[in-house]
Amino acid sequence: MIELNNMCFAYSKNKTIFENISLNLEGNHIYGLLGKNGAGKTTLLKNMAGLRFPQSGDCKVFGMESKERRAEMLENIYFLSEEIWLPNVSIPTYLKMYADSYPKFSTELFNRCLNEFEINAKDKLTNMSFGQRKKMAISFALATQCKVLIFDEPTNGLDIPSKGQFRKLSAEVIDTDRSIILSTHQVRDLESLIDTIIILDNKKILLNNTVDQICERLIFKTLYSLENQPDLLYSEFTPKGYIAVTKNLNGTESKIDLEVLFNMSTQNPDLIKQLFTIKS
Amino acid sequence: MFSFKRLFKQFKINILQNAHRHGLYLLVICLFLIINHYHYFYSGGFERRGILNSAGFVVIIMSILISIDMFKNLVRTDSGINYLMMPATTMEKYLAAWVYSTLFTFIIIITTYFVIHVTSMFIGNLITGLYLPYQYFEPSRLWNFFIKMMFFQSFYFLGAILFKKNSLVKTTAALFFLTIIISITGSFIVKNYLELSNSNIGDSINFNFDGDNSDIMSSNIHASIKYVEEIIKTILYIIPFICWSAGYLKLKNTQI
Repeated sequence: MIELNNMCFAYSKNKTIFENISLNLEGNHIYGLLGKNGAGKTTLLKNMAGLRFPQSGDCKVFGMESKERRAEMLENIYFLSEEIWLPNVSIPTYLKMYADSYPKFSTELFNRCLNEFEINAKDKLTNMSFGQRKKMAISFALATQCKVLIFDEPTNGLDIPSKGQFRKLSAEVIDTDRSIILSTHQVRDLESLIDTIIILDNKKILLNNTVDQICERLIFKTLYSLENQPDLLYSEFTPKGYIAVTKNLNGTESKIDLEVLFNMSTQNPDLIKQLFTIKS
Repeated sequence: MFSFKRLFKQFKINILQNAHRHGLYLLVICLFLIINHYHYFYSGGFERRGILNSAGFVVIIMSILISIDMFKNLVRTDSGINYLMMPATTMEKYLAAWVYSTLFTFIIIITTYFVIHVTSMFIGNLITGLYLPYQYFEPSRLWNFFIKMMFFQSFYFLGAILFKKNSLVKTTAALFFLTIIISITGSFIVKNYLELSNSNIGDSINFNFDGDNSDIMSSNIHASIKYVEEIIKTILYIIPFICWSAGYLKLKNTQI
């Protein structure tokens, strides 16, 4: 679906964001894009959507150069930015304006999402709070049924129940032909949703593996003491004890801790490179 | 591939998104016209100047204001993303905005003038019993309005894409400086050209830009001035196409 080949991007000569990154994103996945502030998460998403142009290398979406912004590409890719913009109209007028631009738009799904988020389908967008506007925008994005949905910090501004509803609805729309790419700092919100993790660090892709692959090689566990842990790779102290990451030598099942994985990856990039072969 | 269906959808989006604001502009024009007609009848129709004369000026102002609005979404990152991600090619989005700020605006304004004029004259004649004659737009006059509108629209259309903030003020300032530069350069060229022509025919004539030049006009230099005039006219016709092309290229390469 999305293919990046040796892509380089810089805002200026002194501000290089990506150096020869390669990435291949396929259907039927929910990708979680993680990185420190300024690592280039939003820039990467914008390159994928054709909102920013790479200096060199390719960025192809459905086989088309994303920077060409062809209508056939835009009909199948939806970008929901962190700060959302909606015109000063009512929801029915918004639908009249934009829905028929997306060939697979489902009004039924849109209404179901609105219902789930407890948004009145006849409300005016101007009278809504930021959170409600965001829920409306998420509902619209999901209802477009685009092959690629790009969400930049989707849970920012959502209340606690809405985060759960967002996870539920996002998981529902995924099928073999569709993917979601999420960029987030709120890893706890989306931990259970993401199935593939991409970590950006130091102008490169440090990790691009599925949660299953990670759990095959690593065990995440809580310990009261770090003594007698020969396979210990990384640990973090928390009020409940140590969250430790050890090598998975005997196929033990454990639940991934994205925050710990992220800290471990950025603090020990060489170790991560050793443990995982980056998928291209 | 270009699609008229998507072009129409973009046009519809432009209408719905700007309905409130541009509806308000239209309301102001309606009020202005009604007041104008009231004065016309109040003076007993003695004010012989055409009641529809203001149409040309109003068409230009409206097309400038509407051109500025066409790309206001590019000012902010969030609305810019929404605009650039709409499923249509840059050409379709650009053409939809162009048609809206030229042909559509022109037709709406002229129709508004016509409807308000006919209604006001009918009511005015009925109330006052003056039976003042209706006025009409001659096709040549309408064409003149349209050409002038296209000329100014092209500048502000390009300005709306080039300048993200305060595009109205910045484009006006740019236009002002451009006019000054062109005037000075043009005067210089014309003066040199005339001197050159003059030296060729062995006569000594001083071209006075502000005063009477009948001596020149009577000479064969008249033909040279006509020639320069033609060149200037051609340049004025070409400028809008240059502005529109530059605007399209800029929009195509816009990054948010």
